[in-house]
Amino acid sequence: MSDSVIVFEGVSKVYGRKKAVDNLNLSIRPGETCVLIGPSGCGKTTTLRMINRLVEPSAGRILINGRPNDAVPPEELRRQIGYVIQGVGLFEHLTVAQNVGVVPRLLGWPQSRIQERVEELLALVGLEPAVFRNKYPRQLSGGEQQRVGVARALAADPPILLMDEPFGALDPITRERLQSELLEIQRVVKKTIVFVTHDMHEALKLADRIAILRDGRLVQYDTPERILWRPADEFVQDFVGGDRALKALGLIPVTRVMEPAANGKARTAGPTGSAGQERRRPGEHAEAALAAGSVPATVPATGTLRDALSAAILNGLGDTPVVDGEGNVVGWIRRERLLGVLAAFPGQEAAP
Amino acid sequence: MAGPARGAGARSRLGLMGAALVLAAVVELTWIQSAPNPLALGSRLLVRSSSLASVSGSWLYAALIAAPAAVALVVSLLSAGPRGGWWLWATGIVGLGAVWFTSEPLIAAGRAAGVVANVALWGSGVWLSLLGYGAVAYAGMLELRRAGVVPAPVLSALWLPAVALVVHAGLLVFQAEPAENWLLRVFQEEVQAGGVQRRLREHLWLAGVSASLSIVVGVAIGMWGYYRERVARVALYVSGVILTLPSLALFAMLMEPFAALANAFPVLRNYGVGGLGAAPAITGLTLYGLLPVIRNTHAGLHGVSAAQLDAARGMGMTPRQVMFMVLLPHALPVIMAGVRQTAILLIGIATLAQLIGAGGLGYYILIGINRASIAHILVGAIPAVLVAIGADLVLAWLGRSLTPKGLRLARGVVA
Amino acid sequence: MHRWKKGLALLVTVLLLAAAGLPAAAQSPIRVGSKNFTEQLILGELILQALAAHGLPVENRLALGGTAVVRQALETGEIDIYAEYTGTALLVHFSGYGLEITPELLSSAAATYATVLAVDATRNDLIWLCPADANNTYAIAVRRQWAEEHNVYTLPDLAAYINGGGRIIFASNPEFIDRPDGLQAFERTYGFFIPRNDVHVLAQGSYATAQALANGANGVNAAMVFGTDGTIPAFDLLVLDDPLGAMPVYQPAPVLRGEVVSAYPSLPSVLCQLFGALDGQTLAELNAQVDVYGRQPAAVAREFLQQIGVAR
Repeated sequence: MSDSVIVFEGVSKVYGRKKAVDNLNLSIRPGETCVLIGPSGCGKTTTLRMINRLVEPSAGRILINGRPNDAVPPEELRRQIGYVIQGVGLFEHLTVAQNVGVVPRLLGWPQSRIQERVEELLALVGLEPAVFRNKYPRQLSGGEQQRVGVARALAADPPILLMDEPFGALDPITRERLQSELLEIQRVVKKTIVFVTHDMHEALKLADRIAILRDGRLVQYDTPERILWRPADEFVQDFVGGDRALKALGLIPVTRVMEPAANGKARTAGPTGSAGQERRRPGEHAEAALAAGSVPATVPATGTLRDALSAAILNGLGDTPVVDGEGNVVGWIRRERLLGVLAAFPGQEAAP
Repeated sequence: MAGPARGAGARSRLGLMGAALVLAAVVELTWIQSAPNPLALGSRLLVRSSSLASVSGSWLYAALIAAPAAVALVVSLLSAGPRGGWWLWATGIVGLGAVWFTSEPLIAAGRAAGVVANVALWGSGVWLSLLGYGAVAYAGMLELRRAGVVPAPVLSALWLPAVALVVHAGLLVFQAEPAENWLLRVFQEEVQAGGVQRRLREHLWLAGVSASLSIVVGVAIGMWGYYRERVARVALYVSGVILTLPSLALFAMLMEPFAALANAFPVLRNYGVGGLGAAPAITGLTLYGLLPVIRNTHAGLHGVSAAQLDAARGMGMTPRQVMFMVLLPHALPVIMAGVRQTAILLIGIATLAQLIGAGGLGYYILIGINRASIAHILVGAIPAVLVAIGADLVLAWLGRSLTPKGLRLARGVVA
Repeated sequence: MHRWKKGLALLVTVLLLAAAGLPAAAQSPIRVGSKNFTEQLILGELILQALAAHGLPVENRLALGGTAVVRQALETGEIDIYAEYTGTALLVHFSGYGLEITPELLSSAAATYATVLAVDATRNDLIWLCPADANNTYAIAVRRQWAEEHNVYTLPDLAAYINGGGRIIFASNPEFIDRPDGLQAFERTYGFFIPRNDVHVLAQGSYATAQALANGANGVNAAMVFGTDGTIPAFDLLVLDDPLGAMPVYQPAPVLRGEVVSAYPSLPSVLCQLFGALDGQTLAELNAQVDVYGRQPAAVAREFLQQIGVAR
C-alpha cells in the first residue's frame, strides 16, 4: 500500500456508547475517486471528516502520503485539502473571486497570482470569469454556488479533495450536469477525491472504487463493476438494488458496442430531423420507420448501454441510431448485436 | 412601484384626521396661555386662557390658520392619487407655516391689546394644529409615494419645508431680540448664557463615552460568550437584570463605591473620579448600555449559517480567523442594530445623570421640576429628543454602509 | 485570546479615567456646591461670585441634587462649601449622633447655631461660618380667601378646625412628609393629624405644592411652603402663624471643610460680609426675581453683589 495517498489504519470513532466508525481499514490510491456510501448513520461523513481532522479518531490513525495526519496543526493540514460540502458554505459577504481566493490568501500568495488562479478556476468550473468574479453568493443559483464551492476547494491546488454530498441539495438536472462536469474536471486535474453520497447512481457514475459502509464497518470496497456483479453479501445486494444488471449496463458506454456510421456523411435524424434529407439505409426496420416518417428513439453518443436498451425497446427492439449533440447520426446499435451482448452479459464488454 | 390597491371609498384617512384635528383645535382649544409670571401658570387666580376670538383683529389669523385645513379636508374626501397627494402636502406645509409664522405676531398683537400678559405660552391648540398639519403633509407624501409617479429624490425633497421650519425655530433661539413666546424666550436666555450649549456638551459626552464603552465591552463579552456558552448565559442574564434596576437607584448605589475609591486613592480626584459627577454616571450608563450590545452580538454571531462555519473550519481557518473573517462581518449588521438601541437608550437615561451632579440636559429638567416651570423642562427635553433622533439617523446610515455589500442583497433572487 | 482581553481591560480603565473629567488646576480650586432649588442656586451663585471677586479660585458644582446628596458630597470631600440650614443639620445630618434635642434648643436660633457649629467642627472637621438673619423654615399655607371663610389664621386655628371635623387635603413634597422635623413636628406640637391618604406628595421643592394650593387641584386646601418662598405673595397665600415654635429654626449659613478654611484664611471675612447682608426679606425678593420674574440666578446674584459693593 505504499503508493496509497490516504490510509486508514484501524480507525474507530466512538460517541458515548455508539461506534460511529468501527475499526476501519482503507487505502485510497492517488488520482482515484473513492466514493463512501451507505445507509444513514453508517459513518461515511464521519470517516470523511476524520481525514481533515474535523473529527478526531478515538482509535487508530490516518496516514496521508505516509505521514500521520496529526503530525502538523490541523489548520495547516486543512489548507492542503480541498473541502466541498452540501450546504456549499460560500461566504456571503465576499465576492465569488474573493471566496475562491480564500485559501491562497491564507497561504500568503501574492495578489497577482491569486487573481490568475481565480480566473483559471472559474473557467474550469464553467463560470465565465468576467461575468461571475464580482458577483455575490446571494446572486447565484444553487448550481452556480456549488461550482464556486468546487473552485474554492481547488484554489490552492491541493492533491486531495473531500466532498460531502456536494450535489445533494440540487435539482436532478443540475445534479447530473455537475456530476458530468466533475468527471471532466477530474480528467484535467487528476486529484485524489473522497466523495460521500447516499445516491447509488451517483456513486456508480463517479467512482473508481466504492466503499460501502454499514454501522461504521466497511462491508465492501471494490470497483463499481465488481460491486454490481460480486456483491459481498446480501446487504450489499439489497443496497445496490434489484436492478443491478441494468445498473451494470449503465456502466458501459454505448460507443463500445455501436457500429460507427460509414464515411462520415452527416445525416439528420431524431426529433429535430427534417424529412427531406438524404438517408442511409441501415436496415429494414429502421428504414421503414424512417420512411413512415415516425421518428425512432435515439441514443446520445455519450450514453450507456442502458440508454441504448431503453431506446431499443421504444423502437420495438429494432435498430437504434446513435446521435451526437447536434442530432447527426454517428453510429447504429444493431438489434442483433444488442441481443447478443445482453445474452452473454457480462461478457467481454462488461468483464469486471 | 404601485402599492396595494385601495377601494374607491378609502380616501386619505390620515389627511382627514389631520385636517379635522386642526379645525377642532382652532375652534375649541386653548391657543395661548397667558400669565403675569411663570409661576402663576395653571393657577386659577392668574391664568387667562384666550381663544383667538377674544383678541381683536384675530379673525384674520383664525381664517389664515383654518383655511388650509378646510381645503385639506375637502381634498381628503374627494380625490386620491397624485393630484390629491400634492394638494395634501401643499396644504399641510402652508398650514404649518401659517401656524408657526403667525404665532409670534399674534402674541404681540395680544399684548398690544392688553389681553396677553408677560408670560405667553402656546396652548394645546397650537401643538395639536402643528400635529394635524404635519399629519396632512405626511399623508400627502404617502399618497405621492403610493402613486409611484414621483421619483425618489423629489420625494425626499418634500421633507425640506418641514426641516426649514425647524431650522427657523433654531435660528430664532439664537437671535438677540427677545421672542414673544415664553418658551422661546427661556431658550434664548439659556442659549445666551451658554447653558444649553454646556449642558448639551456634557450630555453628549456622557452618552457618547458610555455608549462607546458599552460597545467595546459588550462586543468583547459577546465574542467571548460565543466560545463559552456559560459566559453568554450569565452575561445576558446579568445585563438584563441591570436594565430592570431603576436608573435612579443604580446611580445612587454607585456613589458610595466611587467615593470610597476616591478616598483610598486621592490622586484619582485630579481626574474627576469621585462619588459624584461623571465617573459614577458613566459607569451606570455603560452598565445599562450593555444588554442590547451583548444580546445583538450573541444573536449576530449565532446567526451565521452552519455551512459557512463548517466550510471555514474545513478550509483551514484558525478559530481567530473564523471569528474575524467570517463571523464578525456577518454579525456586523445585527451588532449595529444593537448599537443603535444602546445609543438611543443612553441618550434618554443620561438625563438622570444630573441627580448625581454629572450635568447634562437633565439639569434643565430638574430645575423645571423644582420650579414648576414647563419651559425649563422643555429646554432640557427638546434638545435631548433631537439628539436622539439625529443619533438614530446617523447610526442607521452607518449601519447600512458598514454592512458588506454581499449581505445587503436579498437571498434567493436568481432562479 | 488572553492577550487582547488584557489589553481591552487596560483600555477600558484608561478610558474610564479619562472620561471622568478634566485634570485639576495646579492649585485646587474651592468647589462650591448647592442643592437643586432656587434659593440654593442663588446662595450658591452668591458664594461663587463673591469668592471669585476676591480673587479666590473657584469651581462651580452647583445643583448637585437633594439634601442627602449634597451633604454627602461635602463629607466625602467632593465639594468644599455649600450653604446649609442650621435646623437641617441638627435634625437630619446629626440624627444618628445621639444628641439631646430639646424644644428650647430648636426654637432658639442662637442655640441651634452654636450646637451645630460645635458638633460639626469636632466630629467632622466641618466649619460653619456666619449665618444669615433669615428663617427658611417649613410653613403651612392656605389660600387667603379660604382663611377668611373658615377663620383659620394660625396653626392652633387649624388644629381646632381639623379636630372639629374639618377635612384638610394637603399638598407636600417628599422631604416634608419624611423628615421628623416636618409635618410630624407640627402635628405633635399642635395636636392634630392629617390622614396620609389625604396627603398628595408632589415633586421636590415647594412650588408645585404652592401651585396645587392656588389651583385647588384635587381639593387641596393647605400646602407646605418655605418661609422665604416667592410664591406666597404671587398667589396671595397666607402663612399660618406658629406661636409655639413647632418648627426649628433654619438659618442659612456657609459650611466648609476644615482644610479649605485653613488653606484660604480670607474665607471667613468674605463670607461673613456676604451672609451678613442677607435677611429673610432680601432672600424672598431674590427668590421672586428668579421664580416669578424668570431671571437667571447668576444674573440676580451678580446684581445683588454689585448692590452691596462686593463685586463690580
